[in-house]
Amino acid sequence: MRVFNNVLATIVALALIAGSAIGILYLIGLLANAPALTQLVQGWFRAIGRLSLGEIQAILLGILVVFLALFISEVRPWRAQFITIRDDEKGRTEIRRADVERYLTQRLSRERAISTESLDLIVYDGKFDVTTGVSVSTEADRNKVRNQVESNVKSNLAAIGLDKELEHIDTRVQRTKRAA
Amino acid sequence: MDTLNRVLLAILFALIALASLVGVLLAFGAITPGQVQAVIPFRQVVNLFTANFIASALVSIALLAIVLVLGVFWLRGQFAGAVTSMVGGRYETRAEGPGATTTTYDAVERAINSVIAGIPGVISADTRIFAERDGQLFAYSSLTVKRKADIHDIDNRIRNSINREWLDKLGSKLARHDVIINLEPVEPRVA
Repeated sequence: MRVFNNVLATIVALALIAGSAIGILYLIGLLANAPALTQLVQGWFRAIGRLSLGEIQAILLGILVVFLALFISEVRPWRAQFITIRDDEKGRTEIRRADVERYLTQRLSRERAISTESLDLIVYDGKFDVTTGVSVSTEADRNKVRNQVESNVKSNLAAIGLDKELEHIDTRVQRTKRAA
Repeated sequence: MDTLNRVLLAILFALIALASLVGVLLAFGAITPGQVQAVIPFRQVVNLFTANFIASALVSIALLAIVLVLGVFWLRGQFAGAVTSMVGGRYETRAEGPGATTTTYDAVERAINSVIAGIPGVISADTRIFAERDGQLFAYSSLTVKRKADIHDIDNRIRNSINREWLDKLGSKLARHDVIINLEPVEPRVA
């Protein structure tokens, strides 16, 4: 998304430069009474003037949908892609968030009587929270399940040395399965 | 730069979406130009141009010039973080006495890979050397490590092995070494 945004910002910056340069040339053309400068821009406006009402409605709707989608993609929160292990004058060391999520999900799925529905890491300032969603039998003890999940996540993070970065574990327990 | 891009793009996209929404509502007859005029006095702006064209045009040119300059700064910012890969390049180390030793950057990359691959828990390493715009060199290593490996331990071992002293022996002037750690994707089967 960051690369996409860099490309998008480059295109928009170029459009701003081109648009304002054309605007300045047009206004200078009007002030200096130089038709050569103004005819080009007027030509584009003539093309818009020839559009039918239906075409204008469709174009405006298209612009609205595209830019609304782009606006939403910019304002929605972006999840950090990496957990920073070190950042000093020697350099930066990071581990992929998705790798840790997959590792923890696979390890949690090994637990008896627990189905892992979701496991997400929310990374901030070198620390992270773990949010898990598990489904269990209707007869399972909620506190036991919570302790089981927390113990599993903590021990597996400790196994790869990431337990110090863990801040909180949130567990959402769903009762969807019947006991056999 | 990422945050600045997001803020500026969000503002511009919101303005364009809002303007096209007004356009859509006008085109479908849901609102009248009079209602738009009540919120945004666009007729007064048009009147300003007809009443005093030269002054309005000069003010518009000044505003557009500001937009143009800001656009140039924004565009330059996109390329400020651009780096150049040093693949195939070489550098010379001159010591006392005649001649110089020439080393390729590929050799340094391979040397770093070799050191990292020797660290317990590391499955593979891929290192590239880049130059920033100011000429500073940095290495970027992407490693795959075993799932039972301690990430901090691996990081410390890398930093202790590939240090200034070790780089000086190669004559390399790396300013920074960035490391990305990937966990092996699948759980190894236990026999």
